[in-house]
Amino acid sequence: MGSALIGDEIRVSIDCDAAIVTARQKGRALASQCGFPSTDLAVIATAISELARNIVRYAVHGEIILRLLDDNGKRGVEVVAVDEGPGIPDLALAMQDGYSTSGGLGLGLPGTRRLMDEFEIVSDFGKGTTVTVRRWKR
Amino acid sequence: MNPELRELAQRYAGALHDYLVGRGEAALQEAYDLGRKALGQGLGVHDLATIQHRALLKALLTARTRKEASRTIRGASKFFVESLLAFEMSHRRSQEVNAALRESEQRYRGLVDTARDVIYTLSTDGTIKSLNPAFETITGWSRTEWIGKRFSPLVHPDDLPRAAELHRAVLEGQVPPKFELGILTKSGAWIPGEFVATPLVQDARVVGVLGVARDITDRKRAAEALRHLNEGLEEEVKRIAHALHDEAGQLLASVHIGLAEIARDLPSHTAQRLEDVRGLLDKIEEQLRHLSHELRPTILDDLGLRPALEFLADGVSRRTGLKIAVEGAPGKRLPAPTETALYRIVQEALTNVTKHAQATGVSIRFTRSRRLLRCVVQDNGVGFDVSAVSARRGARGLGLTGIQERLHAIGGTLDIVAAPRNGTELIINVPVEADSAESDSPRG
Repeated sequence: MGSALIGDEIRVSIDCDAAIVTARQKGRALASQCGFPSTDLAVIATAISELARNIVRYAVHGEIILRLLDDNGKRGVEVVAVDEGPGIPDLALAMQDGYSTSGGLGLGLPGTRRLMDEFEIVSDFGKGTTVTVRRWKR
Repeated sequence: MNPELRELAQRYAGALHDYLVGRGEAALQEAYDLGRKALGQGLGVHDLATIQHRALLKALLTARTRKEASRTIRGASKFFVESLLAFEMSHRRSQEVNAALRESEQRYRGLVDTARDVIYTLSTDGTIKSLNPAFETITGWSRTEWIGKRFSPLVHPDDLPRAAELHRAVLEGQVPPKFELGILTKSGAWIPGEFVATPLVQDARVVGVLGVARDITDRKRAAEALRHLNEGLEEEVKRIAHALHDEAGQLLASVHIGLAEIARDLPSHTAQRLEDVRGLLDKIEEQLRHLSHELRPTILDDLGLRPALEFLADGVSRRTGLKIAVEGAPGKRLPAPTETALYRIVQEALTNVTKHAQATGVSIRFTRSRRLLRCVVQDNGVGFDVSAVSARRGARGLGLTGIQERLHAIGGTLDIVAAPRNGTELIINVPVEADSAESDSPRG
């Protein structure tokens, strides 16, 4: 990606539901610095919720990393969810709606992909999963 | 309000209240979870708006000042946006799914509209639900003339019982093999259609029949032309065989008599040389007779299939040392094309055995049920790989294609049971007329 990182990244360790709230709060605060309207803050917080929920559910422990980006004057927020859990054996399958019950409703990873502007996922079976999402200011 | 909705409404009101009294992000996360839960329970956006509306009214009732009321409204709207996002994700998914469905629908629509075969669907009671444009091209009917009507008037009356039976079978979930039905065209003519029908399944339930029908008029004509050609060839061969056997034979007999007369008037040493010439003439006569029988055994016309095959087997046995047994009887005389086809097929099969099978014995067995004549040619030779040889169509295909074409013309079928090193069995089934009297009488 040709975008530069602005300022320090924020890392939130995720191991319980309370940590999800912390990650949301920090993500919302960071995006708000960048001037995102409050309805967009809700979108970013939701993406954090879904990614962090996945960590708690499938990997037990992991991290949410939050960054502010600048791509030729275009501002954005990047959320990275990293875990060292079991990994996803079949990514294409995991990205299909209906893979899990929440996916069937269009939530979970597929839902997060639709909510955000960019979505990348890397998973090594047995080594963990990294999901990166970005949302750019309109 | 149903109990689930009421419970959710209570939790929503509680969470909104918590948010308004300063629980911040945790309350917003709860709002999101409530939205997620509502979606999971099958509640709609309107249900959620109803809950929001009630919770907001309740919160406003307890507001003491204008400022407090304004804070309540701002907070509630933020809370509402949060809880809607689960629905937003689900909504976007529906849009994506719909777009994919539309694309897939267009692709299939394109296939169906440009197909050269008729593609149709029927309801369980036999009502035509859909037809593609090929129906109009092939039958001359307009689709609107038939959609919504029963299919039965389109099917030839003789084929109707079978059509109804197949319809029932497909509705029971079966996929019958290809079948033929006569189909009525707008001009009143009947055309032969070859059908494939499968159950139309919706939500794991058979709701009708999906079928594909092909106009096989051309194929039928080609088969008919081939049959004519074969018959013509047989006639020609018969004529030549007759000319060789009878006419040339009679001429030779006259030559014999002439030579005998000349021999009487000649001195004995010259008469001996003439005798040698007569010996040569005998050989020519023998060869002519042999050739004529190879071409067309008159015995087939005169005595029927079994004696003709015995004669053929005897000849092959003597030439090759192969033991050949003819067992069973084909029953009463069959139509000439059927007898000829079977004779030629067995002849071809025996040629195959002598050329390729390295067998020591062959049996030719006939069994006849009421409407079916079965002829099995089985050898004890090296066998072969059926799929490999069948794939090698044409000239090198052991003449199997020829056998199949001959059988096709008389409505018969061929099955081959063979494996390398395990002998070969040709199973030939031919439909025949019901057999009452069993006899091998000459044809009137």
